[in-house]
Amino acid sequence: MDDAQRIESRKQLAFYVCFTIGGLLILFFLFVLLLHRA
Amino acid sequence: MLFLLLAGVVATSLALVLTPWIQRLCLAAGILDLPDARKVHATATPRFGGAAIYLAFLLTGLGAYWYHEIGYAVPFRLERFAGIMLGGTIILLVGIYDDLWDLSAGRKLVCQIVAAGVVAFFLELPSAVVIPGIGEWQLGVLSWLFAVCWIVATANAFNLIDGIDGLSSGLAAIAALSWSMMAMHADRLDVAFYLVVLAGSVLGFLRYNAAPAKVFLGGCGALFIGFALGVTSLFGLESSVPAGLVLALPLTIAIPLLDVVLAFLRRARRATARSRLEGGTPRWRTIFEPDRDHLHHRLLRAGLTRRQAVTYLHLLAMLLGATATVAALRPPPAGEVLALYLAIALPVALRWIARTDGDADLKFDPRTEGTEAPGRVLVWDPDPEARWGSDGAWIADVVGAQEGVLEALDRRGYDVVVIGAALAPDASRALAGSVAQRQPCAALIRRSDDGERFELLGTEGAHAGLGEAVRVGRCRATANNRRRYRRRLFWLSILSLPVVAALALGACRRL
Repeated sequence: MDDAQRIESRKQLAFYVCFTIGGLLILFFLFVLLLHRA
Repeated sequence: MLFLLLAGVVATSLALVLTPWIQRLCLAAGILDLPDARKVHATATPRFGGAAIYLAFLLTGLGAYWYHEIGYAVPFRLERFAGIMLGGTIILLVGIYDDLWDLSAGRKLVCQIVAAGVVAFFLELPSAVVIPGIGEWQLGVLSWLFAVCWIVATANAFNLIDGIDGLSSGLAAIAALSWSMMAMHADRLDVAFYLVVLAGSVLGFLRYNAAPAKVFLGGCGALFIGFALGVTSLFGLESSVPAGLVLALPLTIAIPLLDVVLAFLRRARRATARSRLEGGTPRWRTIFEPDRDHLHHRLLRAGLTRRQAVTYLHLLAMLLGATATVAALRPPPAGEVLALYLAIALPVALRWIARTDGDADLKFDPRTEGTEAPGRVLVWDPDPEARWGSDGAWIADVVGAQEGVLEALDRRGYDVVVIGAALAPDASRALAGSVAQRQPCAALIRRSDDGERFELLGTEGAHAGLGEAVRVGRCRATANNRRRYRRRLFWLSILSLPVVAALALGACRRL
């Protein structure tokens, strides 16, 4: 695996980690807002 | 009030701890911002510093929620915090994707509108504007439209101005502090809380982002702070808003807002100029393409160092923020009159700031001859087959006739174009004939400040033919120009101090 591929795979890993945590946070805050509206 | 101070200190401390952590993570993962023709920095620097601001804001907010839940009377409303964080998280993820792989401008805009729309859906928006002497203006569905436009505008404004170390984050901290003072004076302590926490997070981050920056905000950070500011400022508006406050809010962030408006106008003008020159319809897509003509680029071209340019714009922002705060707090119609005066005076002031005083103070610097970094200097050759000089270290690119000078100067961000010997006549269309008359020569061409004209700065002797080196270098601002800017900086500081001091004194009295 050359440097470019290694950096690309790290980028993908970083994004998937951020996306998973961020997605959970989005769902949590959405839940809070919906609960508040209800 | 002490709770606000404590929250600010906690947010700053968290950002101070989290930023180096994010920085190390980026270095380990190799996620770096590499220098190129358009960017000002010279070394690869970690991005994603904005994630530290996001985390500091999130953790401080959750801490305040916990404090609230165990029974302390603190100004915290969970639904508002959740509103900021919901849209903020969407924006952060969009920014992270953009930092990693470059998201197209159109898709980015759609994501921003979605994030702003979701937040505006859950917000209590002002339904009317009170205009002194006229009465109430009912907004109806327009209030939702205004809210989305405002949030998208602030997010993009702070993203576009993020061109030099510490500029965008400093402007955001100044805006957040100014608005928090407005909120404190209006007894809207929960709004002041979000703003103080945001200002604290940004100030903690600024410790590492100030020139020379060890870490950058990244698109994610710049979009997040702009978005959070846009949303929080809307929280501060009651159901009926005095017109003075409506004017004071954008005036506080006038520098990034005007920069984004001027950038769009400038690029639209160039797109039409280009279509006139080349025929066909204007390529409006180029409006979203970055260039090197933002306010800070102009200040750098005028000879200021990065630190001076940032200080200059920060001082101006402080002056604007303080004056806008005073305008928002004065009883009507004094506040409205002051805000209106600022709105008229500001474009004139910014024009004065961005003025580079033409070529009288710009001279070719022989010390820079041949030292240009690749990507900044272009050798333009109308013959697409010609590749002369491309082995030289200072020659970055050779483009064909069909692309031409406009392509180089406008879209690709070059500072200087060198026209090859005996090839100048073909270029005369773009260069108003001045180069064509002097052939054979190499010419240093500089785009004028309004972006419309190309100025001939000097010809450096005849060329025997293709393959012969041409003289390439940079035009430097003379000492005279730098002195002029130092004088302006001095007067700006003198003007800023009393207003800032008066406001600080007012805030201290309330504490």
